[in-house]
Amino acid sequence: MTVEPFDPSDPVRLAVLGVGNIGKVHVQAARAMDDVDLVAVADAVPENRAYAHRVGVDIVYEDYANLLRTEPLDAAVVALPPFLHRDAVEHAARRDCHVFVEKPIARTASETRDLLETTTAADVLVGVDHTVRYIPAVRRVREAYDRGAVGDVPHATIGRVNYGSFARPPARGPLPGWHLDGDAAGGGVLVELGVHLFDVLSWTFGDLDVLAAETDSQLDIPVEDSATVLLRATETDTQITLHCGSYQWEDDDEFNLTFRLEGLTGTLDADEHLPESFYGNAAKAAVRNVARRLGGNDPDYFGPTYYLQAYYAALRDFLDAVRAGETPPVDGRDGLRAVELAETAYERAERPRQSPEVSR
Amino acid sequence: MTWGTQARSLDAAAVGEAVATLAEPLLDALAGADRVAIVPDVHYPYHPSTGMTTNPAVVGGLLSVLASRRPDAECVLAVRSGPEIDTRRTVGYLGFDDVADTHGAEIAVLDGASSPDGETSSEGRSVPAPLSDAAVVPVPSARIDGPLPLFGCLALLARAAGADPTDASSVARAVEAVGPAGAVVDATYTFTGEPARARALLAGDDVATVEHALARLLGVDTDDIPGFAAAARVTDSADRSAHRSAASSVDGLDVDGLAAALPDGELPASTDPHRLVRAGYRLYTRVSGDVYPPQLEADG
Repeated sequence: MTVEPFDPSDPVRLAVLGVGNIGKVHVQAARAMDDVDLVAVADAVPENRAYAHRVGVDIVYEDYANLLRTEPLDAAVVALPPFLHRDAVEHAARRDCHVFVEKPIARTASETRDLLETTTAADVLVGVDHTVRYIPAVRRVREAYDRGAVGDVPHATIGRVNYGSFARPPARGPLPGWHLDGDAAGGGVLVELGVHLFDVLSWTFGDLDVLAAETDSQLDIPVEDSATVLLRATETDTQITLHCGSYQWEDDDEFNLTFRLEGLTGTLDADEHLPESFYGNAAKAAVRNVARRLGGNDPDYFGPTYYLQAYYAALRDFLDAVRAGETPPVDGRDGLRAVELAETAYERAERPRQSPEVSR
Repeated sequence: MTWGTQARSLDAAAVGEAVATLAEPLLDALAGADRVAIVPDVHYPYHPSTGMTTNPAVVGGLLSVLASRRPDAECVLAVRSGPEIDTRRTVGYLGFDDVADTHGAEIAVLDGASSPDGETSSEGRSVPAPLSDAAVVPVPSARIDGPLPLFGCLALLARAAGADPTDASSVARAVEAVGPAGAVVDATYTFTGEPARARALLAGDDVATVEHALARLLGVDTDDIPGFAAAARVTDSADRSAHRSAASSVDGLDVDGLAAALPDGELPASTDPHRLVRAGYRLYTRVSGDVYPPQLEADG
């Protein structure tokens, strides 16, 4: 899909809807972009609105619908809880406003199709924040695979494990409410982290079949906190195991990601491209960025934090597509495919929920 | 006197069996009690296998023993989590709702209940209603803590009673006001910097003596436990004092051998970035033109 491109001298007038954990990253990323005018943000939580004011956003709304009705915009980042995605996108589409939607694009495939029908009818572009494919280590594995660096790949493993909305000791809170509400979030870890992994796999191997899946919860929570899925890539015949979990204590300097391709002549492993030392990498990136600034160049935004730079890159790609009037590189169809795969995995994994046990 | 044992495995049946063995002497202390209030450690929904919360199977085992040996006693799980999360949610996530349902026990949430530091009743000090007129049995996990060297029987009782577990006099007042009938320590998993599958349980009819044994297990000096000395005096009797002074007497468990096998570490450092880290990063962003990660914002 193509739409009217931007005049290069015009900034993109942008709003961020939802200034929670990731919405804040989008606010900071947008503020760093010279060709973006961050017009306003909206959030129902007073502390998040206060944050926006503190970092220099002048116009802050409590109600995203009110913002979309009032402010002249070209694009909006939808970083609201998933149960609000479709409604927010519909409001934006009515104002001819392009949308960059946090994952999952919507809670179900059906809801996603409705959302995309609305945006198609309104001729607005849809990008989806599938950030994991922007993580440098993942990109390097994918690039090497594309080059044929290990020949055919009969088996691949992908995984991401974190601690979800919980905090490892010492506990700090408060614990957010909607993350563990399957109705609000669309599910558990399969839609929280799994959709990222499905997206990376589809991006790398093309169409996927879900052969089997298992889900489980370590605690007696309303959604699954672990999921393991067996897939086959139909074009390459690659057998794939996927695991996502939100049960593991995680430090700020940890990023538990697995992406490993077993090829005929060797192995491609994202682990080899992840920083050996988070703090060592941060120091090097900081020095590099200072040198870039001294040389009159822009920094690699969020460089020292490693994984946050992927958020900047994803939003940048979307906004570049909006400027060019072209389909974003990660678009609504990618979002839909990831949600469909998660839904199929849920169907394969149908099983009763279990209470927590210590039995080993 | 403190009794100890190691469960042969950690499935619910084996844990229940171990609890039944240990609880026998404790039952004497509960004789005549119309209500028994069991106080597990549910400060945050950490999985019991981390050693950071009480294993529901231990509480289930205790309720099972009580149901068979004290069928007339009304059993209550008296619970209060930390400030980060609603107690009801924590209790449900940890599976205590199921345990209570299975054994016909009631769950009494202590949030907002009065503190023994507050108004006094005609009997002396007030305690939250679910803890009054009940034989109270704290069932702490065996874990080190942040501001405290360990979070054992005394800290758990203090928090349940709405008192400050880090303040010695508050702890002592809480213990005195509650008047616990005994204690069971869940060391099926311990946390001493890392989790360990210890499969152990401790129990006794004097919380200070049990706390002493727990301190030995975790390598903590009882002098460092807020309120220990005062609580020991509060719960003291000539008979118990003799046992406590011979502190090595944990029947049925080699506490020192087990202690030597446990990891020797600390609670992880706070993830809240130090103010110098934040200041340094802000300086870096000014020099480089990079943006400040929201995750480095201070909590609160």
